[in-house]
Amino acid sequence: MLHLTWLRVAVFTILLGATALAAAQANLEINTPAVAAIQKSMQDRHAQLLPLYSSGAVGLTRDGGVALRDANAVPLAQRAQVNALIAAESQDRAALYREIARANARPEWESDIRATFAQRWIDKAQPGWYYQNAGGAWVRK
Amino acid sequence: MRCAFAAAALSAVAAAACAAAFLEHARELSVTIGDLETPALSARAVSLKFSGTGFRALTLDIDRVSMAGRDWRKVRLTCPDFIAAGERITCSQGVLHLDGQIPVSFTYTTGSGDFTVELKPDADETWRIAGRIAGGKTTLQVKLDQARLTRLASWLPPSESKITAGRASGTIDVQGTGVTAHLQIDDVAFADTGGLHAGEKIGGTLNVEAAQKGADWRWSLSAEWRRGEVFWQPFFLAATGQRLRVQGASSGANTSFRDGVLELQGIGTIDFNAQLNHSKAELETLQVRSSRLRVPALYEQVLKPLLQQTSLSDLRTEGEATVALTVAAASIASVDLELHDVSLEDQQQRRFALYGANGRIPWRREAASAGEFVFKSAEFLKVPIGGVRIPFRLRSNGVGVTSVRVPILDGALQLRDFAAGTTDDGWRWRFTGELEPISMVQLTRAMGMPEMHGSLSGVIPEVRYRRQTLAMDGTLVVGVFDGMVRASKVEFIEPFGRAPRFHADIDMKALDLELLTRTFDFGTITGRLDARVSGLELVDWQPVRFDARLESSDGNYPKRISQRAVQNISALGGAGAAAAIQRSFLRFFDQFGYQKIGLSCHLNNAVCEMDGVERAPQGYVIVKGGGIPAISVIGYNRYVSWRELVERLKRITQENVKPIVK
Repeated sequence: MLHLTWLRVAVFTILLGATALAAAQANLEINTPAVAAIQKSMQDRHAQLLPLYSSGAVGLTRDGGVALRDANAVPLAQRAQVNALIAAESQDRAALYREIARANARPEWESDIRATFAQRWIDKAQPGWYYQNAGGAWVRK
Repeated sequence: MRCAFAAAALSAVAAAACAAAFLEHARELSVTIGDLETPALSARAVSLKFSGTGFRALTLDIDRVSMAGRDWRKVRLTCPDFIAAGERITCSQGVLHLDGQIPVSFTYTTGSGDFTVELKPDADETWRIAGRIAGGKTTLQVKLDQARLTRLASWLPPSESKITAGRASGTIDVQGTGVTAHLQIDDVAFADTGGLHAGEKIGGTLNVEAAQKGADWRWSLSAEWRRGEVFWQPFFLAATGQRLRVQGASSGANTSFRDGVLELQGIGTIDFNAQLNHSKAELETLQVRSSRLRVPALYEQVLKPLLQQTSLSDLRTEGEATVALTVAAASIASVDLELHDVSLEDQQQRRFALYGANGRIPWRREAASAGEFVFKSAEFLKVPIGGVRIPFRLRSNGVGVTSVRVPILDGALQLRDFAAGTTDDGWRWRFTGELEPISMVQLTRAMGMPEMHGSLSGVIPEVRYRRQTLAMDGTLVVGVFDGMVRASKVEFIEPFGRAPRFHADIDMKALDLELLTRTFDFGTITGRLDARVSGLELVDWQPVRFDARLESSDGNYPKRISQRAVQNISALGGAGAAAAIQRSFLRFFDQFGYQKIGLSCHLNNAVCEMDGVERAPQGYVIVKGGGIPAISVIGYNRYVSWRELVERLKRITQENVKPIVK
């Protein structure tokens, strides 16, 4: 019954592998050229976003992005630019989660990484900033 | 003493002035009128009270007034100087208690039905209404002076946007079923809750003529926008004296717009007709045709705010364009764009430019069409591009070009069978082509790179872009430094993303080392070089992984290396990786012979694992001497941080460090 023995070994190995996998944690601080490039781009934009977070014009979304909450807080002439800033920031954040998942060699972890980051951004937000709660409603921190 | 008079439902307001019985000796006289109902107005629990000397102080109380779908509760009008003499009723110092106290004066002549009402809600604000109540011949003239528009906000049909400030002055005339208005508005502000549609400090003029025919209204409108700004997602517009003229007809179900003309100052005019469905809140049909629009003004006033944070946000533009668009069954049916001598230039960064563009782009939703795009010259990354004529075929969701030749410097890029289209997963395109030899000297000079000799040419096998990945089948061949460079397995993931990833295998054969080293100011090496870079992976243009091996080519040819090149190669090996150079020997010779040069780097995790031609005690041979005088360079560091290696290369090639010979 060589076959059966082999099968047992194989199943055992797979189970062991799966356990090891479940125990594994994504390294969110991983640094690769791609992650560095995205972080640099986000840092360069942060100074422009800061007053928008403070005024409540832009808030942190529950899926780890940013969104326009109340454009009335922004002078008319700058509203188009706020849209562009939000689009660029959202694109960078999505790319960041994808790259961290890739760098961990676990592309399928992207949505978990996104969720973890969403909570991190909210935890790190300054008092007065707005974020979306689990139901999607805006909450002032 | 009280006198009660009840009327359940009087047919007209005029009836409010109906007879009131009073007694001469009474001090106060109360008249309970009850409810008033007219088609336009209803008032519940109306009562009048006359008091004071000669009963000249009037107090009118209405529990609830309903007009045009709006209700007011506990409305009171007081008038200390009420005079009813003959047919004429006057009140010159009345006060209307309605959302605050509003001074009011009015006159009414019972026989003719003439009346005037003047309200002064604020010191500088007057609403004067004069007219005659006479059934179908009712006339009304409203004269506004600095009237606050916010008072009208609740009268307007419910919509997302609310008027939050603004004043109007002018006249509104009502003659039977016709209405004429001439208004000047100022400091108008409106906004919706999200702020995506908003305007501020808007000023201008508005003229409307409207007449009711049966259930429909026919109207014409002309307006001029002189001051203020509007953000209407995603557009931002500031007033420049834009004018709008349009006629139309409105029924309950829809509004049609005819002979609309929008004059955009400095840009041009746009003619339009449209049909709007009220219940679906959508444009069922629309025909728009522009005059020749001046592109610079169009770009500055309309497009630039839209293009913030893109590579098109800082253009210098020239030329004219016409646009025509039709909407049928609530979706776009055709777009026609014509360009007339249009030029674009990336002002600050000078990444691209396009000069003298002309073209016709006719897009049809339901049919294929043919168009043409021509430009006199262009520039991309400072490389000049010659005139191009591109005939193309358009489909509803794609474009195809059979063949186009793009002159680049002294050569050209020949593109064939270009096809692009949109699918569910985004844009896709493909082409094949070839490069007619382009002088590398001219190309590198134009791009501000170290001058390289040779020429760039080659066959471009099929290039495909889909799912944000650009991939090339086959091998791209480039002739440079008198040798050949072949690139295969080229894949470019998210080329337009924040961190583009580039994969390729690159094979270089018999590059002329003398041309190469001269170009990069490395000292001189005579000979030929082969290089193979397999599994090259760049992320954001930074190498992440590769397996590279540089090696002098096989064959018989002069193999000389200059003293400086020896120093530089040694420096590349790193501190402590001193060459097995007989230093005293170096002093006497400028050039040495070599048998073989070789260096390999296996890059992974930002560390380069290095090797050479062959092993040496505690190291590896990079340059193996041969001939007279011979020299060998030996590296001792097997693992070098990639960053450190790049720094060393930079120091050598850029800072032009002179070798120090001890």
